[in-house]
Amino acid sequence: MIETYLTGIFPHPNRLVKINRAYKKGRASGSEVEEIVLEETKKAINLQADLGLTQVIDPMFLWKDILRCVAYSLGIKNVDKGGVSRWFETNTFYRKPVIENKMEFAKALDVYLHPGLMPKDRKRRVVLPSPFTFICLSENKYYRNDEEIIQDLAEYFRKQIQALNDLGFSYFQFNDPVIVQPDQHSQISLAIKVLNKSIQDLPEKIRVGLYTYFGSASGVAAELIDAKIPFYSIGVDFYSTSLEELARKMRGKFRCLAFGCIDFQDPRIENPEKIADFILKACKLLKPEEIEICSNTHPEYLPYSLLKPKITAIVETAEIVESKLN
Amino acid sequence: MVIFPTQGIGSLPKPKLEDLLEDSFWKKELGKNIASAKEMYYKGNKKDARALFNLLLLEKAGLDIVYDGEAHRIEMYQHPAENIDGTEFFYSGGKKEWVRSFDHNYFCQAQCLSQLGLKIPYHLEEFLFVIKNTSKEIKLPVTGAYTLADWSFNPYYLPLPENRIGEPNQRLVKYQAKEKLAVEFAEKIIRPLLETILRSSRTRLRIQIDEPAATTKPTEIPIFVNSFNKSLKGLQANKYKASVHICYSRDYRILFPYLAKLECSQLALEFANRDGWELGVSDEKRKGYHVLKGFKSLEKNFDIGLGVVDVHTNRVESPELVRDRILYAAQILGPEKIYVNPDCGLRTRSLKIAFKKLRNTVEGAKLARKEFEN
Repeated sequence: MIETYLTGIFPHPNRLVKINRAYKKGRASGSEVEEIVLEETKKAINLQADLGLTQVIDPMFLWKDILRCVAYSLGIKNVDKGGVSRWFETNTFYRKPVIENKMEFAKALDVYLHPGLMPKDRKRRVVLPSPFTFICLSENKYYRNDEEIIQDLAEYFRKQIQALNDLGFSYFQFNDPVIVQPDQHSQISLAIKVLNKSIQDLPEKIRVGLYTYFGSASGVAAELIDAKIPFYSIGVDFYSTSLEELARKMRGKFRCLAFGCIDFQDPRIENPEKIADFILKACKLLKPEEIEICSNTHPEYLPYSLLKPKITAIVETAEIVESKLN
Repeated sequence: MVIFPTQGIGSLPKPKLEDLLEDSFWKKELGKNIASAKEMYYKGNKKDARALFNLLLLEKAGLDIVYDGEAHRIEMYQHPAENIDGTEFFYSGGKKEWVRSFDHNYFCQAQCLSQLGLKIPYHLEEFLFVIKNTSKEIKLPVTGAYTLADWSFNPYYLPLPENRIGEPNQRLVKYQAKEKLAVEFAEKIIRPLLETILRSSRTRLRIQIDEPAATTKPTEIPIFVNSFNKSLKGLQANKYKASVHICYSRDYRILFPYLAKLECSQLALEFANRDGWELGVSDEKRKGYHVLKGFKSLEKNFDIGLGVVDVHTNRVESPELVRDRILYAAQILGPEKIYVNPDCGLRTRSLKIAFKKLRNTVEGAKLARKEFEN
């Protein structure tokens, strides 16, 4: 069966928008917000399962950006006071973590991921920022060199993944938009180092994928595959990557290629037949051993009401591909 | 005009007006003038009442150049988009849907489905209210064509996802679609809007075109410049003075190759967000303002609207810190080239915090002027 899933933070339903705004203005309490977050999280998790995604993720309603909760759980101080920076070429922003103290595994992320709400009959996936993206988008005022940062950050991610695995999550995804930015290609060795260290010696039952987006994967795919980092899958945003160019630059093969093939920056719903045709054509060129089908980026760039038809497009695309491959 | 004139950038927060009008803090600060705003409010003219309240607040803070804190507007994107033919919002249960910008701040994003047209000159009424209710110099903020295009979904010009997936030159396809949309916003919306407003203006009007998106995609800066210029093309030059407001760029230097062609006299930019909080006028203390050296070396000599207070934190800058930020900039650019403002609109802060920041902006400018006089 082709695995299908979403790849990041969800848009907020109107009910959640309303309570968050009320809270900000002092018109709602923390417990009222918490109540609605729990209800909407449950709905969002059930939506994924009901529509047929094989893996479900927490909608990450408590994550103000992909780095924030990780920064909290690293014990980084004053996280919410960092300057606001634009998140790549989007209209969202993140707070840049400023590292002024030693990073360590301070707490598990389960408080932000609701393991108790996950359905028992679905694989549970966790979306995390890649340690390489985390390093590149933070400001370091503590560590003397890359080695020290890599050491502590890698240890954190190993411990975090293990802790979440103990809570029933078995699929993990490192979101790495930085690695596919052209001006970061020179940092590929650092990227490979920290990615490798962050997942080395994890038990085989834990599957970690690297998901790239907002940039062409063709600049780094060959190096990533050659490096033999034990990623279960490598994900490609095909709205930022040319298939031709990727095929041209590939040396080895993807063990498992995750197709970011439903565009969550375009409100129109894709024709699953046409997307399936593309995937099949890509498989002939790239010959991955396995494939997965997913959103191309965080769902949060579209309004909440488009989640259902977009998820349906992912599921239907997978069904068509599967039937044609069989 | 004195050196370091102070100005707002745009929005003020919108707490419940009824509470503000009864709040002893505001009664004390705004004095008996608050009665006019109260009268308007209880007569049912709530937007006008807020606009008047904001004008009083900005004047009390001491700003030299004012507007109305965008009281008549919902938000810098939503307000124009609601008054433009060809755009449509998304709805759930009869209510508009939101996408998040940061933390718990959201905006409604529309999609452009057909050719654009101006439903009404959407800033005219508020503009007429402002000129009637202040004797201060006015600066009209207008969301720019490139930002409107960038913040809209573009099904009208962008090929379907299934026709783009995995294709080479995806960037070029997106670029061309964006360019067409931005030019359409400039020619069909912004220019006719400004033409109408200038006809009603008896004095030379300062126009600030807000382009927060201008540097988000460095390769699209030519689109921003082209659509900016097209927005002003054909307007009577002696009737206006144009500035552009850009903020939260990763690096303003990416603008440098293009600025010679930009037809405006002032760049109002954010800096405080990236600066330290220690006092001092050295390079070490004023890291957020180093890029000013690059502006100094440009072929075209712009005025700089210097962002001196950070709008993303409740921590209030002291007048001394504002002074030092101004003095540092003046060392580089010369005092005559500097206007002083917050980094951006203040709508994400409470009104009291916004007021304190604006007041300290003004006090800081006064201190800086004093240093120059000495």
